Amino acid sequence: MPTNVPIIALVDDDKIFQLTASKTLKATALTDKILQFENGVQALEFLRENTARPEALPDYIFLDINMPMIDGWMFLDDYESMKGQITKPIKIYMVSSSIDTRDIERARKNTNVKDYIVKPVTRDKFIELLKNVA
Amino acid sequence: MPPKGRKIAKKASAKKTVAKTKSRTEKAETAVSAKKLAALRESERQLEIILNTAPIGIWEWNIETSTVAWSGKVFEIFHLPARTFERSYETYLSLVHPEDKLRMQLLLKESLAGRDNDYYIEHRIIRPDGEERWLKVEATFKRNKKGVAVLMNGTVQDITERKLLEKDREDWKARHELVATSAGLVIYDYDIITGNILWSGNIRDVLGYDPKELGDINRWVELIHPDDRAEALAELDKALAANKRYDVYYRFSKKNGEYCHMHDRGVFLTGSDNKAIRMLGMMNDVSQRVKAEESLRESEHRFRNLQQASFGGIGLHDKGKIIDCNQGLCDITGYSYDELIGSNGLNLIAPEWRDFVLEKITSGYDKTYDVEGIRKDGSRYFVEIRGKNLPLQGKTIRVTEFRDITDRKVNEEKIAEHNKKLFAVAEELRRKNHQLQEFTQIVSHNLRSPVGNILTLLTFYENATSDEERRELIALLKESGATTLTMLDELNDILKIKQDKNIPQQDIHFEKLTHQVTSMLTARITEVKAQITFDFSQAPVIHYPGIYLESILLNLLDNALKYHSPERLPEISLLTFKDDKGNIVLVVRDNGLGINLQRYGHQVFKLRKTFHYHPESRGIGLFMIKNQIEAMGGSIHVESVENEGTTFFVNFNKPHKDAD
Repeated sequence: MPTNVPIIALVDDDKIFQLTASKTLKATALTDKILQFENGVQALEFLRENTARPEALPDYIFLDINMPMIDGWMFLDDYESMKGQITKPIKIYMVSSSIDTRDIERARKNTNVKDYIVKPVTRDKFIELLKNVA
Repeated sequence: MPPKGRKIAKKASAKKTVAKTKSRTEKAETAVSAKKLAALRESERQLEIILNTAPIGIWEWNIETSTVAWSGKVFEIFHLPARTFERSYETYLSLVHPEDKLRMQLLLKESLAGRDNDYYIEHRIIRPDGEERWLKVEATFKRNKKGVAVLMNGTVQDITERKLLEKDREDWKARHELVATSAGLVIYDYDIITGNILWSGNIRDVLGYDPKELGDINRWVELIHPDDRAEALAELDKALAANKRYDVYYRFSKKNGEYCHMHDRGVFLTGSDNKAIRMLGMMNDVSQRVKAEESLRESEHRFRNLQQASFGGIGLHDKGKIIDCNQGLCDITGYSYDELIGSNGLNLIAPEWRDFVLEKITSGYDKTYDVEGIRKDGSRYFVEIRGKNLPLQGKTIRVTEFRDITDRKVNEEKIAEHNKKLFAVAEELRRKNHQLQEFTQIVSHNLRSPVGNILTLLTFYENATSDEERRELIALLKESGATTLTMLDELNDILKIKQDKNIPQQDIHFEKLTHQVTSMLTARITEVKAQITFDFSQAPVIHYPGIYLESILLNLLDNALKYHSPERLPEISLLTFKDDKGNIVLVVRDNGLGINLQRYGHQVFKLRKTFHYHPESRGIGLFMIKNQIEAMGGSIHVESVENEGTTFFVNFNKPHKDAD
């Protein structure tokens, strides 16, 4: 495993997705640094606490839409307002099971979202995403 | 301004008659015989008598000595008390009318300085008693060899009566001329015996003829319009026979060939045998008036035709009182023409509209407006009114048109009703569409998600290297399968609500149902030591689908219990009441955690949205009851303050506004 591996944050309330996605990511052998957040509130709290610590901040956030409390859209709103203090460029991907075009369109329009990925996400897809950016 | 120091006026002489009074004869006397003298004395005496009886004053003014002499009559004429007034020019001058004074003084000055010995003036005086009189003064001058006047004598006479008569006559003459000329009158004096006519008046202006061109009776007959001739003559014969006033209209030829309308009025003068011998009268050119009347008649005729041809009702009214109307107004209102004329137009309007109409009339409003009319039989109809103020014969009257628009109103109402229906349908479609979108979301997120997990887990299972790993994956697969099934069941429930339009309804007692529901929740109520109170006194019963109401109550109570604050014992209160439209409203209030509505308000009633980390938060309840409530035409909304509590309001009948 390379030394400078990217840090991945999974923000999703679906425990099975958290499990399978972690396994899949690890299987890519591109990273083993995976932060897991059950919802938007936890993820935002983490970012807020670590704005000045780039070594702790994720390089990628895989963000679910449908979550209790703070959902994906609300997360993005809050992220926008705290972005200025974050000392590291973060790539955010929306990851959702929704194939509703309204969700896809909405994500595309958000400048903080790199792309919209439809679940389930395969190993190859993760590799493509990580390599592409790396 | 006396010509010399002291002047005394009054001198008799003058052209006229009487005077010529040599009151004092001088030297000649000695030359005549005594007889002659006696005769002369006698004649003087007679003259004296005449002078004293005639209303003539005699006077003499010695210019050289400035002395004045005048007879007693002069005092009378001037109305002066004899002893109190000095006989002087000044006394005379002071009585001359101010307006005549200058004229008199100038004439006197000129006459004194001139060569003519005669002096004549008529002027006014103002007597001491204030009365104005006219005087005639005649005099003669006596001059010395150098021509300087040394003596002036003459008469003074009161001519007031004559002056008044003169003035009167002049006035009459002027008046007569004025009337005849300005009125376009032709005056005639017809000698019935000879047939001659004496014409006067304003003949040239009226007819264009020279008076000589109008001849006798035959000429008159000839000039009458052939169509009117027989009647004019017949009337003349009739009037003559009965010795009545002749009063007739006919057309009369003018010199230029045109006919004018004559109004001829005449009276007869009878001779000794009581037979008419003369006829005096005047012919008045009334062409203008006749034409005006004709055109008025014509326009009235046209107006009437127009009115009758109109489909609407037309009424003319003067301050509300109908002065004319057409058949249309009778048809519309059910009144006869005679009933309408003279009646108050406002009576045709339904009472509650009268102030409105009155305001339109008084403000002179001239656009159309709709009101309700009332017929004679009391029935009502919709009427479109348009009024306009018109000047007529010096008054302002109002022409008002009535148009029965019942058909239009009925159609408008039909259209409005159709619109309402269409609107309701559109609203329903919009709701359906919204629900469909919601389902897409649900299927997309909630159903695809566990299925996607299953697929991933199956791939993992295929690649699994140990039995232990496979067992773990099987467990997860089972869990995902169960989640999927639950989701499908929930979706099925929701679909049932949406399709279940004709779900049976019954009268439900809130209190009874509350007991039922709380008994289902007993375990949790006991566990959290919740206190539940209710007041259904304002609306104890509702007609509603029982299973829905149970679901609503259960979910709201369950919610309130679930999200209670750990800092205090849960207090939950339930209340029903009727809103201002009579719709029943249920209020469920708790003192729990509350929701930050500013942040989460848009998600409250969505599926699978929870706002608290609670083990049993599934996010189905509120979504479900919202669908139930809306399916029955009601609405639900929430008010909440974080950490204070949440209140849900369910309006069972009021349609929801937003589809959210």
